[in-house]
Amino acid sequence: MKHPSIDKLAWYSGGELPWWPRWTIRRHVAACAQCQEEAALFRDTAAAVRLETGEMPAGVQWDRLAAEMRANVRLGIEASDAISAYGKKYEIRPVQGMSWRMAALTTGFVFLLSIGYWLNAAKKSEQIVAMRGPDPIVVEASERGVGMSDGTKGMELQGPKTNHRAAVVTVSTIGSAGARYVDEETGQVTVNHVYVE
Amino acid sequence: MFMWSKRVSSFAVAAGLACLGQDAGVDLRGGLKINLPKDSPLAVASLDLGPSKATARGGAVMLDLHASLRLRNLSGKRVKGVTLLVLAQDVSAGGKGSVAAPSLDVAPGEDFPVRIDLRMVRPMSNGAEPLVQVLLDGVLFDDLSFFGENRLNSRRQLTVWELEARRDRKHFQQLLEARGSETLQKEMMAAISRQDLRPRVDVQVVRRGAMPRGANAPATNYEMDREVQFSFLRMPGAPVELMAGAARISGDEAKAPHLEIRNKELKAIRHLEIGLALKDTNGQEFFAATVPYDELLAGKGAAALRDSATLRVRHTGGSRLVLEGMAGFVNNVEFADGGYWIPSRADLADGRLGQLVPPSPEEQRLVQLYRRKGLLALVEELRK
Repeated sequence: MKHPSIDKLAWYSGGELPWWPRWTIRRHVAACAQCQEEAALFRDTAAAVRLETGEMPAGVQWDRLAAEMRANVRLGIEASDAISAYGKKYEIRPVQGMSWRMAALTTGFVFLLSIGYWLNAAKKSEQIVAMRGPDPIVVEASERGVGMSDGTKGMELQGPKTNHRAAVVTVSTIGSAGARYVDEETGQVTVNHVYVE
Repeated sequence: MFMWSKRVSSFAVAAGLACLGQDAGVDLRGGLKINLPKDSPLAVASLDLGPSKATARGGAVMLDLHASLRLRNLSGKRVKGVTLLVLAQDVSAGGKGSVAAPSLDVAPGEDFPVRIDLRMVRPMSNGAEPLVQVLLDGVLFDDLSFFGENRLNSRRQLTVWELEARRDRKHFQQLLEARGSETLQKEMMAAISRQDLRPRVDVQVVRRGAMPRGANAPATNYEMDREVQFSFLRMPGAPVELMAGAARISGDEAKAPHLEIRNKELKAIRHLEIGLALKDTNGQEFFAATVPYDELLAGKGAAALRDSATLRVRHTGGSRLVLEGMAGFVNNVEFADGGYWIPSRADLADGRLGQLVPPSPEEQRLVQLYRRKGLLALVEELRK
């Protein structure tokens, strides 16, 4: 009996194998006491690690961090492949033929999968939109003026034409922003504010 | 240019904006409405809409309003400050703004200008509601009496500005009388230097929830929140003591400040304002925000002030800064008996406070007068 490699056993225990290899290894493990022991050891170790790292520090947005790390790892692998392939000749393999029955079966299967994926994705995106609350209203004080916006609508009170640059800007934590201008001609002071209710 | 009497206290600038709207294909009937109460001590003397324009953008209208308004003092007292409430319907969260003119000295019968420069994006209206309404929120007179609806707490703000104006005028007048114009000139140069050296920052605030990701935020660096304790800038005369305080800092954001305060006086406090200064990793410190406390604080009483707001600060021009520390100081206090406390010139003489606390509108006006017209004009103004 040929045992699966130790890497594959580890991936199998973590549930990280694709469908076909997972099925073949499951069949082997069910009949092999040695591999059953190995798989159980991997599962125990993974559970212990999960317990240790269960609590993330406050403020870490794990999902975003994980997504970005995955993206960076993929990018690194692709860059590495591209560098190692530089200067090598492409291998041209002969195209293998496929019977018309196999082609029809594959097409139907892919079509069904696509419909399923599309329906599921549409439902998920609706759920995400429903779960997401309205955008927060951002109030801002800058040299050019004070304004508020919720991403789609907004208003801004600007400085006078004679002096666009605010001399003092500040915000209040109750949700207001202020900018103070001094008219260069008359010296008159104007203070603009916007407020969120 | 139009003229109005006191009786005609409400009007809509329909024709002017409708013409502007026709160019852009936007129907702006009744676009701007100025509503003054019947017994208003001010009347609109003239209105110039200058280069105002309205542009249709899909289902929205973008209004660029540049209104130059002249108001006439119809009362028998001198006007020291005015706040106009600017209401824009259908804009986020009610779309409330204000334009205030502090440090005025308008005699009865005289006019003074107020500019409203407003840019607004809102859904296309059916024309029933005016795009922008301007209302009188408050007028402060030289005897510190007040007229107005006070929806924005204009009475408090205008009174604080007027008290600061009196403090600073007195300071400069005393310098002039005691040490002459040369010392006054030196003081003006120091004031100019303080104003010019103030760090230029833009500040954003979100009352609740997370601040949207900034356009210049790094793509992959995540800065974890850390609790940072306030340092306090103490003023000997302040009626409130800041006992402790902290906020969470993460990159260019400061979140959820909380403070413990104690009333040192026997009389109760109706409102107080804490000034918040932030310090970046380059050691630059700047005034960024105020944290108000609007509950009654009994004489000798203590209270905890908790806020859920998030602040974000960046250099003007957009470059990112990283926050390191915070400092708090008492900015102003309103007592339950109607009295006020503001920092004295002696309090502000402390180097760090002098740099952080913004100059009063009156100091800015006097500095501009000195810059524009010279020492003689300033001396003449102070001897009025």
